[in-house]
Amino acid sequence: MTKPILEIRGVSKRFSKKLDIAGRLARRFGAAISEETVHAVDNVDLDIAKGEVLGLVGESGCGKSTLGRVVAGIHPASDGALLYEGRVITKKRSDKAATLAIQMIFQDPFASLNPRMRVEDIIGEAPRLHGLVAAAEIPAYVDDVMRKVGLDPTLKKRYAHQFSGGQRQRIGIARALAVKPDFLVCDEAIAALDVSIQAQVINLFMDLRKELELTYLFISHDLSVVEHIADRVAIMYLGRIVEIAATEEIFADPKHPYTKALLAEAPRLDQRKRDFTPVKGEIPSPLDPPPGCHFNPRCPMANDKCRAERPQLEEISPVRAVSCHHWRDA
Amino acid sequence: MTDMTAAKPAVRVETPFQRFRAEFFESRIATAALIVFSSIVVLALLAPWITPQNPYDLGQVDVLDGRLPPGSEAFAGYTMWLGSDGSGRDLYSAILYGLRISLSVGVASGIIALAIGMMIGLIAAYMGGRIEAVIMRLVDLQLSFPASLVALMLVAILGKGVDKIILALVVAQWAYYARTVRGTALVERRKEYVEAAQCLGLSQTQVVFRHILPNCLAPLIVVGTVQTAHAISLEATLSFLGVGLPQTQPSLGVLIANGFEYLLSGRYWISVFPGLALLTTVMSINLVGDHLRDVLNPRLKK
Amino acid sequence: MSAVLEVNGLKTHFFTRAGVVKAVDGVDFSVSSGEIMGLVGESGSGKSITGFSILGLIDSPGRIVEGSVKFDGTEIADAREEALKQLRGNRIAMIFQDPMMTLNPVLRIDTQMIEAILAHEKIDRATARERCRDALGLVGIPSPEERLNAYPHQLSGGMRQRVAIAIAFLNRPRLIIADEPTTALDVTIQAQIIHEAQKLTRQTGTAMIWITHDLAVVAGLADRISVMYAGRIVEQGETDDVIDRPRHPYTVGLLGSVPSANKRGQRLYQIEGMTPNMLALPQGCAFAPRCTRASDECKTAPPIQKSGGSRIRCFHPFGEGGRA
Repeated sequence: MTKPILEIRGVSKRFSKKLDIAGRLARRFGAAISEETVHAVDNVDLDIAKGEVLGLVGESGCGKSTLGRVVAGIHPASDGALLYEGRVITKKRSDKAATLAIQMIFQDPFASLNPRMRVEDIIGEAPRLHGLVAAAEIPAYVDDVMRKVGLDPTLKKRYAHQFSGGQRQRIGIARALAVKPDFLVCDEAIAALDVSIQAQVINLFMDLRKELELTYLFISHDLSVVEHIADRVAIMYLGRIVEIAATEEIFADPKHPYTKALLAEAPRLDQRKRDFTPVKGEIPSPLDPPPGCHFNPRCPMANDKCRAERPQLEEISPVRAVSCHHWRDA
Repeated sequence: MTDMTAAKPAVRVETPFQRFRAEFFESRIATAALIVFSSIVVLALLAPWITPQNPYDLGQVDVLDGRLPPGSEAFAGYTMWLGSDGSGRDLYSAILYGLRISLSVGVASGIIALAIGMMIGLIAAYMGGRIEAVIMRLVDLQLSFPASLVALMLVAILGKGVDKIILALVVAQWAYYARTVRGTALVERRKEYVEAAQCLGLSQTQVVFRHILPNCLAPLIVVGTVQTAHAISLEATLSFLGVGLPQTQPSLGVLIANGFEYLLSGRYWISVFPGLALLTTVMSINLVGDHLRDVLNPRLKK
Repeated sequence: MSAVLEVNGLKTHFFTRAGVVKAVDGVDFSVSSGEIMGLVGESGSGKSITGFSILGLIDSPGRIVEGSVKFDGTEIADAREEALKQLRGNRIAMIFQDPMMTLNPVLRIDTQMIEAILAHEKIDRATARERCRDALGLVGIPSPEERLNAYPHQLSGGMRQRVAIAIAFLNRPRLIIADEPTTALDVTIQAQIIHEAQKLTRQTGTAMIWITHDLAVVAGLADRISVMYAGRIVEQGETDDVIDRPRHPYTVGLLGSVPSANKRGQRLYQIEGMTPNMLALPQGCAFAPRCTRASDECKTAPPIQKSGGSRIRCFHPFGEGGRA
């Protein structure tokens, strides 16, 4: 593997809801309330190589979007460090080069574009404010970026709401590309699009990767999309990474019981009238995760060890790791 | 049923302003109110050229013309269509001149209160923590007093005069704007476009002023219209109570107060006509404001 | 099998300020007892409006302008609100994407469920309550007795959707219309819900219309599939035929654009262009501007071609087996 462009070292992100005056007063008088802390991301280690597409898969509340936002610098990490090309960037992003190098593509093509701005300003604002492009060349530069993502530059005077969902997502991609990033965090970037438009945007991501030598952290709940686009896949459950491997390996031979359940239950075109027993139970609240392995209440293989001891992410081959006490028995 | 609205596509060629305009003029009442209000503004602006008398120029006011009923002829030869007040001012002229004062006091105090309230609200929303708590408790405190009481106390301390009454109105009203802006800004700052702006390395000031603020303007405009109407009637109240504007510069409130003592002696016109002018102004602004709220508030949209 | 629901030439139009939106424009299909029909389409295709039209839930400025909806042989397209109210929640039930469209947030689950029974049947509360508990058990809710006493907000999204499904099945309806019931749910929860819904239709013989944008979901669930585009059904047939041997260019394109293992890393087949503007639909076939097989002929409305059990609305369908 080539040298990693981004190293995530023991990163955690906690959100805590502080008690207000009334709450503190009530607690003083014996009410059973306490400050609530959500471990959205719990001690995650990940390396992403230059030019690689890493798929990050998990269900809602597993912390995949939070991890993406920590990487993109929207949330500061509570613990741990991020290294970009070997430099630490965890603290306040004073490092402008690293800030601009990592950009994010959002899920909602409606909420992610400022409704009061014209397309040319949405795309051209950051390069102009940062002086990446001379002011006189901004219009030509915006045209250029728009063409790159398949948008007609003659529409640049329009507002975002005058475009369809797919075109809006292209505007969001153009906005990110305008600051010449090396690394894109795509957070469910195609989930909100129509089926026939999804393929267009997936193709755009693949073309851009080749053309601009981009690295992606591709966050999605959709296994088939991740299988299509990613080189490696990491599976997250309740804030932790439970399995990580090359795409072919993980789809051909999943080791973690949760990965197995996900793969078995994702609807696929080639399956008809299935008769199967889906994995029981629901994702526990991240406010109160089960002790030991987070998956133990739903896992068919769980025993006392799983309920007591947190499994470590164990390297089972140079490119593969799994966090389960029983992966050998599978 | 959200799905059904989603199935109705937006017309893609309209700019936001065109859509806003089309939706605003869909309501006949609001359109009429806007026309009435615009006419009032035009009349007030043109007052020196379309009135027979300058009620501020004591040389033109003749006490002998006092308390004439509508339609009487003034000593100077013109007809007083709306009659005259106790000091001999032609009511038609006095109302138009009074409107100038009432409108400018209302609008000026509205704009200043909006600017101050907006800044304070933005600071509260963006700084959070203790600063926000202090500001918002101050807002709560302010809003728990009736605005007229606050203004009354201030004018009693400051004294009469246009500048003082504007100051009093600003103090009585900034809190409404601050609360509105903070509420909207808190919602807006969680949206993904703000996260995107952070990602693009924009500074906090740039994020607040270039991205969050423009998206808080719609509710501010609505509150601004309604509060301006409120300011106009508040000023009239103060003047009516005799603590607002001086007798020499009669605003609508002063005119109403002047006629009040004659009301029971059958000389209704001295109070009623300025009262009607005030009512029409305030009501037309409120109707416009109400409809603006319907058009600009996405939650009320069908 | 007799048809529980027969829809013929249904047209629902919305008369908006900007023009007439022909959200549903001539839709025909039927569903039989115990059958699951998948109604698939993208946003704006009219799939949800079709569901709402059957239930008589179209609000102004929209209305059904033409067509017939026969439920158990009775025409209900022009039925009065009173008559429809008796049908809804009793013989026809609906499951929404958001379970809170069905659930009242301020009432306990048992109150809502018992009322749903008593509104249509005269039995005593204890019996009704028992039936509610059984219904919750049937949709896979653990400790149903406890859940009966809960308020909706105390349940997770997946649990709420199960309760909504339990309510839908409560009065043993003849027909259930499910509008994107699993779209907001996670993969493992979605699998559970599909599993329960499938089991229940099989047991009770209820007919079901499953509205979704996700072909993969209906592929594993439905007996027959109707694909909608711009207010019309463009292809309709047995699930195996539609998924494995699609013939309409739109269906072929949709299926081709779904990522799958054997196309890994390659460019996906993409349907060019955008989802159509419903206010400015092209003459004739609405898909023609995006279609690779379109000709001048397509400017006129394409006929319905029948082959086997399938119906395709196209001048130039792909041959049997999805090839030209």
